[in-house]
Amino acid sequence: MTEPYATIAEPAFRAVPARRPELLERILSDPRMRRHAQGLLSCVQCGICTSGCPAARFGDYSPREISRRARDGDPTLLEDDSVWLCFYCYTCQSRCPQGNSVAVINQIIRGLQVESGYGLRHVAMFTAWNEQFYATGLGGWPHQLLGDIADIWGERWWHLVEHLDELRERLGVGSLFPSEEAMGELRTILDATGSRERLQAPAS
Amino acid sequence: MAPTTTPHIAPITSGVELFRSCLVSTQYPGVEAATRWLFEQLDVEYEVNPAQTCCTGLGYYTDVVSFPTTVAVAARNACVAVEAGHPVQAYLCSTCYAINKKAHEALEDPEQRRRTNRVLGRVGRRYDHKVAGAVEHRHVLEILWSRHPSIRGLVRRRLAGIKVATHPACHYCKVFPDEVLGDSEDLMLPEDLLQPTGVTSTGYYPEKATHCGAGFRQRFVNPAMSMAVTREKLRRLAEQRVDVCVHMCPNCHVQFDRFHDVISQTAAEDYPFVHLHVQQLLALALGADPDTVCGVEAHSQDLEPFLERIGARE
Repeated sequence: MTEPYATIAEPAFRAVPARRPELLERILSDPRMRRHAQGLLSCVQCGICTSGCPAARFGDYSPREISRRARDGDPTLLEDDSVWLCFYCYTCQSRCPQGNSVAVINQIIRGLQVESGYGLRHVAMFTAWNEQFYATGLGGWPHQLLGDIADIWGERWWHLVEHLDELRERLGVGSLFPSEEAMGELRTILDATGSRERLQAPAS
Repeated sequence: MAPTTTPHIAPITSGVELFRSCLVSTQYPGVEAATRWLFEQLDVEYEVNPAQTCCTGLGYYTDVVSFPTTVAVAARNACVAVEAGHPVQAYLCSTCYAINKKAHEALEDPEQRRRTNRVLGRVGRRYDHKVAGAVEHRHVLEILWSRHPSIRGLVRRRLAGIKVATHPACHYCKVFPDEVLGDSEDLMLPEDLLQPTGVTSTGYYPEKATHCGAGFRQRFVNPAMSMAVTREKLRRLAEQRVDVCVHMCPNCHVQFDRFHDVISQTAAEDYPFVHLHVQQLLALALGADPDTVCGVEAHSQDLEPFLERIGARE
């Protein structure tokens, strides 16, 4: 009879995941993580973030995994496409018993992906927003973004688009746009913070 | 009548800057008009400041605007609000609310403030302790709630028999959950505001805190996932047999109002209720005109049967 305690299993964690302390450091030192840095460091992988997450429920995405990989400083996050499935609803953050925020971690990771050039394809369709904002000081959804949606929203919505100015006048809500002076200040701020250059592919 | 549970706050009657929202302005301008009308009814002194620019929210949350840009724009908007003597920034949109508060929080850090002021210096402005100490960030519903004892005497159309559910906006409830007026998982602020009009509230219902499905990029990039979330919420609201679901964020409102009939047809499910902003329903109850104050023609849903039922189409 074999002694059951005479065999020892192979260590499951022999291959330590690649870590990049500088990525973890980058995330922890980001001003958006001010309230959440300790939360990331003390993540216990309980999964409450994932249980309430709409992207985990209807898509191939796990905030718990993102948290684990962020804690590990896993550099593959910088070329991970699943972070782009987050809805930014902050359910993970509001329910996390440790005070972590995967929604914020995703914002940081996506920003790093955009700045490295990897993430530019994920934001290509939204650069029109940036241009509209620079030109008019107004956000909203640029019409070129709407594409198929405009067809689905149908005649009633097109009626609104075509008669928006008249409706606004009837309602007495004034101009859609900020003053010229405000626009000048806004453009200076956007230029000074490199808002448009950020979306150009980096020179290789 | 059920007692309200939303915490009382001191009346806010002046110094309010009604912060313009890009989505309200372009999709449902009646939400702004109804809010102005309510402020006038409730003696809230306010201004709309043409020096205020958009908060960057849609750009930030579609990842085309960086956080330093967002913080600088928020700091400038705080400066112009304080300069104009209307430092209570009142947000129609929950994303404007969250992003400005988030910027305010970041600016508490001396290094962030220094970097931001280097940018603001180019437009001759400075976010200093006076601005930081004076500016206040409020959702419009909080301002209205601060005046709620006056509502009962102003009701002109009682909404008895109308069942109302709240869709709590994620960026109001979940970004700063400790600063919500009430319970971030079971927000009663909209229903409590409407209580004097005679409505019946659902209170908590399964998946009350589940979000709208818009998710900024997801509505455009992953429509099947986006629609699945919205459908789930519509089904839960239908189970509650509500007459109207009230909103406090224009992005949620777009998602539900514009896609309600699309999802109903695609899923072959009936969702027999309408979507209105809280301010629109409250204004209607206080006698506002559905067209010239609430701007109902901007809605995708047919609101006429509902307006007839509440006596707004005599």
